[in-house]
Amino acid sequence: MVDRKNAILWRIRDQPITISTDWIWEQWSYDDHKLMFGLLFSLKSFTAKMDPTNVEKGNLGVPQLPGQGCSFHSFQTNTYKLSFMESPSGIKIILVTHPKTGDLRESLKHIYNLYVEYVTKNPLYTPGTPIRCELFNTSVDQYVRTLA
Amino acid sequence: MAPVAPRSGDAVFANVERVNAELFTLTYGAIVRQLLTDLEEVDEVNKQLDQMGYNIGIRLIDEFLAKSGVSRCVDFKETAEVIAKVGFKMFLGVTASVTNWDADGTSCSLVLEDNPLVDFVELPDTCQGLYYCNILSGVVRGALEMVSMKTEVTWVRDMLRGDDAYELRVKLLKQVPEEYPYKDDE
Repeated sequence: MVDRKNAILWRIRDQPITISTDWIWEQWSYDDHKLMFGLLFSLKSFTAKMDPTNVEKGNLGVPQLPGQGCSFHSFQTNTYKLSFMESPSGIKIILVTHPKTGDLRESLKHIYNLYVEYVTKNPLYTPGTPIRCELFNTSVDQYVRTLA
Repeated sequence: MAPVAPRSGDAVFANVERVNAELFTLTYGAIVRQLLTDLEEVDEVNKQLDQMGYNIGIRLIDEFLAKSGVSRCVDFKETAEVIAKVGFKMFLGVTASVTNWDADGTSCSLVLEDNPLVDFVELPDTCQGLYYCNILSGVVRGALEMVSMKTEVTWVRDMLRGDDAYELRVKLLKQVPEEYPYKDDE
């Protein structure tokens, strides 16, 4: 989970439904953060640029204003599938799963709801800092297990 | 899959947990009262209320987005409508109307006919400078900042000061695009 300033807030090794990509989370270094950010940022930029319904397109690589452009929701390789959701407030939720998993957009929304319930409503949590909240961890963990 | 239509403020309001309105009003009154005692200066109290509202707003926005299913607004006009019709309804149970747009569409007024915060309130002579509901302006400012809109929110009319309605002036200062977290030369 990534916030509006693109700082990593929280991550999970979602064992039950990932098979091949566990290593990504384990060896997650500063460079990997950068890579992930670059990947998502460019993909968003490209998808907006490709949009045939919109005539006013910014230049590639220029950050977009809220409400501008469009975005992708997942991509798939032969070994994994990455699902992505960005809320208008800039919270990004990324799930890496087995390539055969179906549409996860509803699940991402559900996780966003969990985030609201357990993180933003937690008075001890300072917005923008890494999430260290047991209740959130366990509830996401439980939820992710039901998806498997 | 068809996009989920944004839920109306009424629908969300009917579903969320609510507290007794009087409890809410009196709690807020107690906070303001305590702030007046602690800070002594009315201006300081205004500032503090605004700051508290801001802190609420930056958290509230996520709840708002998650519960209402509103997607990105195309322009500031739509944003204002959504705040007035969905946002206020969802959290305060009242709706506001949006009026007085300026020529270039960057500032407008949210007019509240009814305001649950002030049910039992009369401003004493010593607190004439107090914006009793200043917390609301902070909430709006904080929430909008989280969706990348820097705004300035001020009270124009206040029933406690003898006006006929509550009017919040929202002025869009600028829209901030997504930030790069890394520098180019790293």
